[in-house]
Amino acid sequence: MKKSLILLVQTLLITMIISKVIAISIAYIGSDVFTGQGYGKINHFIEVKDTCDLIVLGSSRANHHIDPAQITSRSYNMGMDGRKFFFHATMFYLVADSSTVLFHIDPSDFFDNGESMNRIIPHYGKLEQIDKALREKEQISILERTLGSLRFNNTLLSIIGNKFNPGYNPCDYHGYDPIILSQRDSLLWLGKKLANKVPEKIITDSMNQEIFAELAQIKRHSDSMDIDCIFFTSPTYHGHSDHDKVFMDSIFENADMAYYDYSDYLKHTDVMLWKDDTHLSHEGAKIFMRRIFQDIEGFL
Amino acid sequence: MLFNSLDFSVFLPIVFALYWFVTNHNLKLQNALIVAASYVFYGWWDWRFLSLIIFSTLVDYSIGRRLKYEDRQSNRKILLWISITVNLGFLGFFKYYNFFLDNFVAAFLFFGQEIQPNTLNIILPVGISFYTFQTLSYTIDVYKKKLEPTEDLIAFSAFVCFFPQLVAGPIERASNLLTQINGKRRFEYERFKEGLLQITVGFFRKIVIADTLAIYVDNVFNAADIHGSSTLMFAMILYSFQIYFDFAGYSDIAIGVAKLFGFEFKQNFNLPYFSKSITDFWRKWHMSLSFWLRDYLYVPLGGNRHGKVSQYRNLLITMLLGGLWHGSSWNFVVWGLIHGLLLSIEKLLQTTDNQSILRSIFSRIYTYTMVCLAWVFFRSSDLNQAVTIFENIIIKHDIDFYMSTRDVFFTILFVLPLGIALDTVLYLNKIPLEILGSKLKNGQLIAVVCVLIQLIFLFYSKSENFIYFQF
Repeated sequence: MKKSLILLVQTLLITMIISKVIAISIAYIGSDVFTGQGYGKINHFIEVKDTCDLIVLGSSRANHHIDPAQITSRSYNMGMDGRKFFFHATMFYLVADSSTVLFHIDPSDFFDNGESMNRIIPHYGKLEQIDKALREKEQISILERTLGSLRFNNTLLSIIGNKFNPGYNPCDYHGYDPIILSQRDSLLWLGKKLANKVPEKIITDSMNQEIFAELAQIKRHSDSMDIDCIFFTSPTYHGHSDHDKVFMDSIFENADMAYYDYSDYLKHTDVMLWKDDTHLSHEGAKIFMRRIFQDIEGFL
Repeated sequence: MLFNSLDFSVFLPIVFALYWFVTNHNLKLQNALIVAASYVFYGWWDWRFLSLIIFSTLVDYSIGRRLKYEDRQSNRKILLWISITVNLGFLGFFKYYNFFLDNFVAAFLFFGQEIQPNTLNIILPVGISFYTFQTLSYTIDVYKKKLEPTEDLIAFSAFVCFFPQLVAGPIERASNLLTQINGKRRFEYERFKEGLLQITVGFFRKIVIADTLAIYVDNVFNAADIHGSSTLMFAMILYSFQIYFDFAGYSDIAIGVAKLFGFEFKQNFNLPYFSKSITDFWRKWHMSLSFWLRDYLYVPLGGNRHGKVSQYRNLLITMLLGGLWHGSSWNFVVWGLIHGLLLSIEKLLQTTDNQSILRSIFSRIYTYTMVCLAWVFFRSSDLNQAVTIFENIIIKHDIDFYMSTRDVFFTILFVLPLGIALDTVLYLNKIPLEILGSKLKNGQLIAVVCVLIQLIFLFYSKSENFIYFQF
């Protein structure tokens, strides 16, 4: 038994040491990786955030719908696929003073439990705001903090790939990723994907109440740092239910924050403006951008 | 409780410490600890279903004891049938009630009669298919006087519910496991090494390979109608590896954990994709189930003792029921039937194991291809989906090959070859994973385990469950 326990302890100790070494090595390799939709994009954002006047935050809907470079080259779209409210909030606290933030929000964001912050975990240790957000929302475990390589779960290949074969030039990239329809997206196929659907009502009872406190915190931070934070909901093919629209309006009215609801804008329009019922194609995004930039002109 | 959960990582060391440091001097106490720990392990999922295990345990324990003192054949037969009825009754109710009812309704509808039956919202108790077969085999062996029934209820309970294999096997025979439970266990360093390596490999196979493949496979199968031939064929191949690494991974963890407690389980997977025939495949895939079906179904049906035609019939019945054991759906029946037919054809053609190199390579490719095609029925949600997949594979040319996300795709291309390479090394060196740990020097073992742990840290993927939990 004694021999076995020694073997086990040796294995665990060596695992810890290797884990640290791997974490340091990956962090070193990844320090100048600014491409890719995961690690690289956050790295890029951290690199350019202090030089930007306009930042877009949100999910893939923000990422594919807003090209901030059309307004100013000192801008960045930090929209990221599958991310939700607490991820965006963490990015918000990194934004420089006196800038303008376009914060995309959907009713579904109010159910976020912080899990979508997992993309930030590899960046633990880089900035105090990131570390604090991960700890406060309990999105980083003791194991991830101590065993460094665990933090880089499912990012290593992306980091190496983008290190040696970056998909684009980050100097010309402002975070916007247009959706260009492919051959697969025929009229018939898109029509099938966009088949009639009645928008459902969200169930407000099961929302995460912490989000409301976080909204108040964002408001306080905006005021103190002179940041113009504008919340918006981008178009959906079927629109949102009246219940959801009233709910969203009331939330931001009560919080005294600017909010624009475009969920019905472009509702049931030409299917070629859409990739699916929540994502506009590049053609659709161009129409939407003209509208939103016109509406928020006073903030820019 | 799942092996790949934080709960289990706390549970295992506690039980291990109590087992070897507190209860080691008293066999009865140690067995009682196994029972208590196993009930906690099972009850973590849903404590209400513990009553089923306890009831099943009491029934087969009592029948086993009665059989010991009963000499009249007619009474012995009645006792055996009570056990079969109780065990298969539970299984039938929880697993097949709604399936048979739906088909009953459909059959009536076919003849123009509409009936409104009472369907029930039944939860399938985890592991019921496994422990039912385990207890049944005990009673059948006692009935056939191949096994001396135990008088020790605690030992018998431990045999039925031993937590490493309770929910998804391997299905252990009483002649192997109960004998070990009745005897004093000794902690052995070499066995510990074997267990440590096998558990680590099991986790690597499950949460790195199988769960990563699952992301791609699920995306394709959930929208099978929109994908074309190349995507569907790729997903089909990936599924063959997903189910293998998922279930073999689970078995590895179960066998490895059992080793930590001084038990030796039988091997459950022996590199099945290197098989030279479907017959060979079933000697290497989920061995505890296929041997169970052979010994308790195929042989009692007559096996190959009454001529060729009877043998083919017995093979078809065994595989068909084996398919149905996996799930209450027609696609599992068809999957079993395909294997039954392939086995019968092999018997008809009388393929031999002695083959030329070229023929041996061809046989392996043939076997893998057939197994792979049959998996489509296994994975599909219903028969219609399986038919759609085959249709699309044949006639639908892919416009865009579906890659999922770049991260997932490249992770698959990285970790799957690692898993295949490990199997190839084991195959070429003719060494079972079960004993590999003891063959390595300490330094080698630590190096292999540490590398695997780092691969797990860097590439693990989250999944809700093990595939075989649903059976």
